[in-house]
Amino acid sequence: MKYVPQKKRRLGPACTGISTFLDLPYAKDAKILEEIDFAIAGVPFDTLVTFRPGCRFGPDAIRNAYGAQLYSDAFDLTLFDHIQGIDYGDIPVQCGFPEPSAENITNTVKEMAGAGIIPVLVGGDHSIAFPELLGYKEAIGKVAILHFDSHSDTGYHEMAPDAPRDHGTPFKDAIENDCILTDHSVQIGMRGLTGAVAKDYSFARGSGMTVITAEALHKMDIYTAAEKIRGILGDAPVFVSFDIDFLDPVYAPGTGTPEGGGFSTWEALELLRCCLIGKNFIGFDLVEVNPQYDSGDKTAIAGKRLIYEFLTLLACRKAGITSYEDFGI
Amino acid sequence: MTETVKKQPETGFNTYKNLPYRADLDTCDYVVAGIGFDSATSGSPGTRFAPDAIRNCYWKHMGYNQNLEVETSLASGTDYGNIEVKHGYILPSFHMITSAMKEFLSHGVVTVILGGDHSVTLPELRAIKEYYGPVALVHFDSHRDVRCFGTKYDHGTPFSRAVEEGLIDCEHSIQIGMRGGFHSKEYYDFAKDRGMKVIHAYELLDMKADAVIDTILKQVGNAPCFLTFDIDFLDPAAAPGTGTPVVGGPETTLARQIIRGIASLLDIKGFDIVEVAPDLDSGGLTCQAADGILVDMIGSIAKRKELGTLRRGSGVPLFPDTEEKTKEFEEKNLAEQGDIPAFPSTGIHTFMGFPHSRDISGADAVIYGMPYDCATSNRPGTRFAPREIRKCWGFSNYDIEFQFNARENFTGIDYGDFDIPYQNVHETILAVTSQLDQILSETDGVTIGVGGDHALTFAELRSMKKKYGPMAFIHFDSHTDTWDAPDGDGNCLITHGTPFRLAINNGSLDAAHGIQIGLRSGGKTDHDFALSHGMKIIKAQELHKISLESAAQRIRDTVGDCPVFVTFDIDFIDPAYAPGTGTPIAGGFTTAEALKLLRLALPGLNIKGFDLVEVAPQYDTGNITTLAGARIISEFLSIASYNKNVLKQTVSPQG
Repeated sequence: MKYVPQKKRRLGPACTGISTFLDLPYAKDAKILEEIDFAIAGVPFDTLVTFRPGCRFGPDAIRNAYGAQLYSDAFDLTLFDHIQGIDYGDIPVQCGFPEPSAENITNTVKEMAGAGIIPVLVGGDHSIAFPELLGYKEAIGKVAILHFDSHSDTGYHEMAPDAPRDHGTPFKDAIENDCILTDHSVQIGMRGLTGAVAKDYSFARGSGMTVITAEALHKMDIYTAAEKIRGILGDAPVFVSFDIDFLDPVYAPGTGTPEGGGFSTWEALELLRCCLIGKNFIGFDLVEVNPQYDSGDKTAIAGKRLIYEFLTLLACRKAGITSYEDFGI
Repeated sequence: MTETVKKQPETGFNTYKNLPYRADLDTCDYVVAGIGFDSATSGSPGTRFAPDAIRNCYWKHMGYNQNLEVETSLASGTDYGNIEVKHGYILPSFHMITSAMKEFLSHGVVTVILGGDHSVTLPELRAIKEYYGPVALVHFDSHRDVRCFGTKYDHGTPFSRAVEEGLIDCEHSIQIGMRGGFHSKEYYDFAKDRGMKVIHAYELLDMKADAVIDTILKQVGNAPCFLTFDIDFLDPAAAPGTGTPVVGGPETTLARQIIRGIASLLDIKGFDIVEVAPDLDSGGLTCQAADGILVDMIGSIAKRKELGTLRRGSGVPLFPDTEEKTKEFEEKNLAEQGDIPAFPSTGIHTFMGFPHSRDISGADAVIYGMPYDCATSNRPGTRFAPREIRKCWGFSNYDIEFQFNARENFTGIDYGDFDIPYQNVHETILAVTSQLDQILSETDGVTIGVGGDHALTFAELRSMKKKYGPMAFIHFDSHTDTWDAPDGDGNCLITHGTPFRLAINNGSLDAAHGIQIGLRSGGKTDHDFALSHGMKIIKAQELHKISLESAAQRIRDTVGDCPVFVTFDIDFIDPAYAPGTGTPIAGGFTTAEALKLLRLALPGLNIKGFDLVEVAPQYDTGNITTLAGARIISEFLSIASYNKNVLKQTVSPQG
């Protein structure tokens, strides 16, 4: 296997060498896309945040974070026996210039998804999800979303028709541009921004998506939620978008708009496993990691762990594992 | 209806949630005011900055509260700015606070106060009593704040004084989350003897929010009440920005669920939220936790209005002489106060305040530091842990869970730090071994090592083996520490990832009576190596799903009554609760869970030695990792004392 984490110098500490996502080889060559299963790209863009900026540094924080999860306890599987991938570098974005940046994001996703591999994008603020979904639409058509977040990101106060998009609107924009199979889509963990207009998540629910609030998730437990989500996703192609503020600020303080009353990293990992094993996921992003507000790297470490878990699920698909015993699927 | 402004959240003149500044109180249901007072704190100061920091919090709107299902603007409020106080002058400031509160209450509004240290609740309660009579107290905190010795007016005494002054209806009062500071039996009984209900933090771990809510509603009933929320109720991982944090607490989720469950059903006359110290905060975490709680508190006022149960005060004082009478109490108390005791943070720091000595004969516990971190694979810095952990206070006099005085008939010595030759890991291992040999030759008490990185445990095990034979072994960690890391000649390198492969290979470790708990990293070959030698493993993945009770039972069954060494790597705990370590792994456990597991698993075992390793203070925030480490050592001591003083007595020679 060629495109797997590069073995480090045996005697050096973990922080030696060139820093890439998960120590994967860095490559920018489109031809390589044919030989691999996934590509990770950074999107260092944070112009469209509404509160604390700084998630432009998210990709590098995750490249530098400690922790290699090369073996999965849950599935008894060694990841890179089954999959190959690269660090595709950062997508050319320019903070302060949303439109040309979005175009580059769309084109990159289109290129990767068109080549039949799984794009894994690391933000950056959540506004990037809209250009990503445009890219998926062009490459493979409409997709369902499984959206982990504390905010619905479908607009949060009365929106003027010409209101500029920001990191609180990507899924509204995507639905209005007909990118999402809303009947097969789920948003989970919502608890923030209780503005009067968004009170019933009327836009999100009205579009056909299912919204599971944090309050509901805390009360129903993660396994019941996963069961429900699997039913809704069905066989649809699923784009998984993970805003790190789905986690409680205790687990992920390093983010722009943290909301208390969230979930632990382990609960998130278990949810990913239960919802997605055997499902037709086609892409992933992890957004809103903001190292400037982090403490002891814990947010970046949690974010990196989530990426490993997603890739574990991809490795399961390649290895023919479609069940998760602990969950009884 | 309150007008709120829609704009970029962090712009503009700053009132709480853009409430109108000093609106006519007669048109308002509640008033928000700050008290930036922190002269009465015994820990780190800084709560004077809290009111403005909370006003600065993310998101200025208070719209629909989806959890309470109410439009918050149904209730109208105003921000009155900060109440004037004089730093350094406690009693005059109290009277300034009471006067301002009386002004609010004369208009019948609910008061929402942003503290300040917890001493400010006393003058608030004085005004509340004047208007409504004694009120039931609903008190969220990690400390009881009913201290009965030392200074009379500070942030550890508001409720001793309030009870004395007759401000509280004790029979309907409740304290929730208690776990902190030094305890005495006198403290422990204070609330209970007066009919107050207490829910300890260790009980919260097993209770769902609904059970807590029921208990509170039952205790308070229809009594008029005052809700006071000390932010250190929350675990320091959720609220590091506070002066006297105590580990092992709940998260914001539980706090908000409880507040939402009770606040709209009680007749609450006033709220306060105290002890937020923004300069000690990390990423605005603590201010945001406080803000979230306030949003639910204010939402509950709107909810009561919607339900028609919000009773506006008459504006006429029921006990107009309340403040006048406090002067008599103050004179009496100041006369009685006598010498003011030393500040807890003054003096030379030793582990748990034990005397420092190299004469250890007869000691029940010997604690030594091992400031060495050159065998780490990632971030160094654990060399600073022994020094930082010495600065924490933690070993309780009165153990609230086992209900005995842990320091009675139990002597401890701080042996100081071992001499460590940094330049060579082999020499370090030899040096630690020979110094621990020396200790073990002089005492039969338990030893407690404070690392340092985990490679040092190999040295400790070598030494233990000489006295006790191969050691049974209980290992809390996120890593296996049985890596296969051969050098060019095929010999296993000494690193902080290999100590137990080395110890198994050289026979120091009785792997058949060994168990590793919490593992969530490392390759299959490490596990296979340990398993092939008979070691038991409870991975994190499994521990998340089984009860702590059954995990504890497996630990006890594994080691039986063999002489056992307990090693605790702080990264067993999730990086949320212990970021200050070299190799943190997400997906772990809370500090409260770790403490409970120790309590369930270890009492009664034949424990010869403990260690606590891998705390790296420079990656810490608000000291939370160091505090967790200190608390774990304190648990070791409590358990050792319990084994000596309680279990040995109950297990009589007759059996």
